[in-house]
Amino acid sequence: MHTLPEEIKEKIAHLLGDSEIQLSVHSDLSPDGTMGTQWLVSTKEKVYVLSPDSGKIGIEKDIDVKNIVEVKAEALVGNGCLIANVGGEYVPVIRYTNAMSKEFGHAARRLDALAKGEDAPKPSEDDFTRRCPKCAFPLETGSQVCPNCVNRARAMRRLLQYVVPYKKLTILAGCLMLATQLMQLAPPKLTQILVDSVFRRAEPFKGHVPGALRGDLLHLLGLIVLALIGTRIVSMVTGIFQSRLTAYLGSRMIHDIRMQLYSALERLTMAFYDKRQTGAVISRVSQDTGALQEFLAFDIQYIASNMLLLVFVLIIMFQQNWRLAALTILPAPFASFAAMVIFTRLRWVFRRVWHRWSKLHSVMSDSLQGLRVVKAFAQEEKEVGRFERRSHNLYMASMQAEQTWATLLPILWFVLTSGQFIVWYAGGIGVIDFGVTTGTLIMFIGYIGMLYGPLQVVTRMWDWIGRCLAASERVFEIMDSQREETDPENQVRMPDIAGRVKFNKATFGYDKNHPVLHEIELDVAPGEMIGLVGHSGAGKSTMINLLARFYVAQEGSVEIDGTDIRHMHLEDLRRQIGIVPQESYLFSGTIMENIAYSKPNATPEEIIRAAKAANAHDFIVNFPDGYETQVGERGQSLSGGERQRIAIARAILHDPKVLILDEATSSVDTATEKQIQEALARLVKNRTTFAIAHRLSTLMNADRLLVLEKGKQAELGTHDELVEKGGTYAKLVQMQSELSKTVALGK
Amino acid sequence: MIEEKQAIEEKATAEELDAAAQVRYLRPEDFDLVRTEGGGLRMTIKDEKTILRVKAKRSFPFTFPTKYISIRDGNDEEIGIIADLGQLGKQHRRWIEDELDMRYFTPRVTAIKLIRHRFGGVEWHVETDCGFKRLITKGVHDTMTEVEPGRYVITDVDGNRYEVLTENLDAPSRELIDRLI
Repeated sequence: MHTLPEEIKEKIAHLLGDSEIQLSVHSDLSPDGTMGTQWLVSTKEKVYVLSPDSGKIGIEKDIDVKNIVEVKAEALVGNGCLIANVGGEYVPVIRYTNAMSKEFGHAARRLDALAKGEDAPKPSEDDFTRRCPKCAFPLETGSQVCPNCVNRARAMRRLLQYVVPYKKLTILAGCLMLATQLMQLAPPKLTQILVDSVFRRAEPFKGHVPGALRGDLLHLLGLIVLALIGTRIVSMVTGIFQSRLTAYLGSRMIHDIRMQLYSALERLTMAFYDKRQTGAVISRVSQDTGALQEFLAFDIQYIASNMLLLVFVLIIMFQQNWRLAALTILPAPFASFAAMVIFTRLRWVFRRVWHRWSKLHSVMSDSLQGLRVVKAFAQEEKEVGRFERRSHNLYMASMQAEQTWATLLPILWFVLTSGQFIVWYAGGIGVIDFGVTTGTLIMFIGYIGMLYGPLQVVTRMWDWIGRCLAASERVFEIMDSQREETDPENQVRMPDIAGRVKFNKATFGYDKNHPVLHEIELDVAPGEMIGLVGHSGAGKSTMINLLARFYVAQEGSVEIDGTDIRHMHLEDLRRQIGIVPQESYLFSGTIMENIAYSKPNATPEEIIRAAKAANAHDFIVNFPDGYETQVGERGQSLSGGERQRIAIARAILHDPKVLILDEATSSVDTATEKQIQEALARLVKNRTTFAIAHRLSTLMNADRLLVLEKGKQAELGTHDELVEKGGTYAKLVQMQSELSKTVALGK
Repeated sequence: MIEEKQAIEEKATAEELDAAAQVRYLRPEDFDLVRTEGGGLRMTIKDEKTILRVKAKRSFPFTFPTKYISIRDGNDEEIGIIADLGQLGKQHRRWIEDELDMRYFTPRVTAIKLIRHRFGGVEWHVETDCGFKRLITKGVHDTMTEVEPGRYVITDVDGNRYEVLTENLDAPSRELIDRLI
């Protein structure tokens, strides 16, 4: 795993003798629990823990492999510990921080195998924390992209790929932009001609210009003013076309990205969503693509046009009078530096304001949404107090931010525009002593005014680009995440299954080192109903997740009709598996659409038949809008029992061969309960059914019951057999009847 | 006769239910502790049983780090709660505190040298009571939990935890952290 340094190897050569090193891993904690190093080294006979300390090697642990019964990597809080059972005594062997938990999880499995004389498990990619070589951020399994440090060039190149289909239009937009900028350069130059060739020639006559010259001057004046109007109109028109075009391009490109992102989202594995909050994923789609849109549609052209303007202005200024030009841009480096410092500072203070805002928000939404609870416990005062504290914090932060802004920005503006004073003074001397014309001076002042905008852009540009690249990297990360079906061509098509389900020593853990299902062995005949029983966390839902292939067993397999489901075509599999989930989720739309979700072309007759079988028809017809009642987020509110029956109708119409029932724990009244039971009884008929039931009444109908305990198969048999046996299930039955009696008394 | 039997059974299960909800507090005189050679803890509850592997967990890790200590066996079943480690003898207290220190590895930050934003992440250089550490967190605000005013727990990308008491920090560190939150 980690290669033991030669110097340590030399120093422990006498310990090892001829034995070969089987395993060596280093920890990032020293024996006393401070940051440091320790090595876990194992041969076939011995396990050592070594602490290299100032040239000496301390032997912290020395254990004979033959005495080891079991080795486990235990996750503690903020660290972990390799714990060995040595002849019945539990020994904490070596500690490590969570940064090393994968390595030690693997080490534990290797040592365990060594102690039990089994083959060493092969290390997989999952067994190491791969880190970004640059910033040490851990990389996700299967991903080469560091989520932290962004490869700017690569991300930019990939982002620009979206421009390629609109190459011609983009070039056109660029040309228009160039034209707009060139037009903007004309007015100062025209002003110079106006001053030097018209006004200056007219001034000595003090209002009495001779006829011929007057005609010439008036003619020139008219021409220049016309030219000024002309340049303004042309730059306006090209500007309008350019902005319209870039608006189209930006929106269009972001639409492409958004579509690609969303279709990726729909095809990602459940594991992806388990690790993330749905809200965070949604905000990625909206915020990050929003940031990209702003960049593609606006920032790019803004940056490009300002850079162009900067270059043009500089060229003209140097061409006209390079000495004056050099003096003018003298303060620019200082100004840029000041701007950088100031904007960093401003970013901090405003980020803090934003953060305190969101904290205030969360207090508000928390207590207003839970107002019923607040009032019920008479805690209004406390909630107001909580709000007060947060609001005060926000007030302090936003005051400071506004004040910082109000102070720093004028100073920045002063520094940025200080070149102006140099132009006035040095240019004035030029006029007095070196024959610089007034017109040239005025033109310079005109051009220098055009420098401030671009200078500001240059200072803030990296910030924008950085933000855009970070957003793009987050977007690309989703696009590159693992899809459910990696190789659809090699999958077996099974359009019509019989429904024999077999768990073949299936072992699985969401984290490989902590299996939540151990070697489940179960053979279910087509049409049989299996009830899954166990405490919460026993592994019932995990079994369902494996069956629906939301996750894949790490050892062993799940088979349908004798075919390992991981080789089965995913669509065929899911089409023939129906799930009635614990939380019956209804999409916004009509009841009809919800029932027909899996079969959009279902006829009204089929929908009614399904609803009828689900005991839902009667209450649906009683709604004013019948089957066309709007449900979901903004629609009619339905009771839990009604939702459940719609979900059952959905499953009946779907007509799956294998059915998964995750019974809701929410209690409904007895009449509804009976209706649901009836509906379920119709649904499970002739289907292989797995039912997670919390009410044992449901399980009475099951052919066999599988009792899970801490991920292990504890009991398997019919209701009567298990009650007879007097094990876990019998206890559960007893407890529940006890409970229902208490409830009955309570009524 | 049958009814009678049923009544007795019912009574038994009702008692079982109550018993399951009862908290067992372990008094110092109820048990004996042994630290094995390998460093594990073994507990003998007087006149009852010996637990080969004892785990100790805190019920209130922040507010009462030395009180309400849940003592558990190897299968993570609770054996009982020690109300206050202060009641125990010196030796026993030390051993349980060692066990707790091992479980809850949360170095205390004594000084913050640097906080730097790097694209999606934040890099911190901190001095802790367990030595210097360079850590990386995903952001700032989501990774800092305020457990009580002026007391924060930082969780880094690996899931390691660090505790920050703002009043124990030096002035520059405090200013750095004040910028963030």
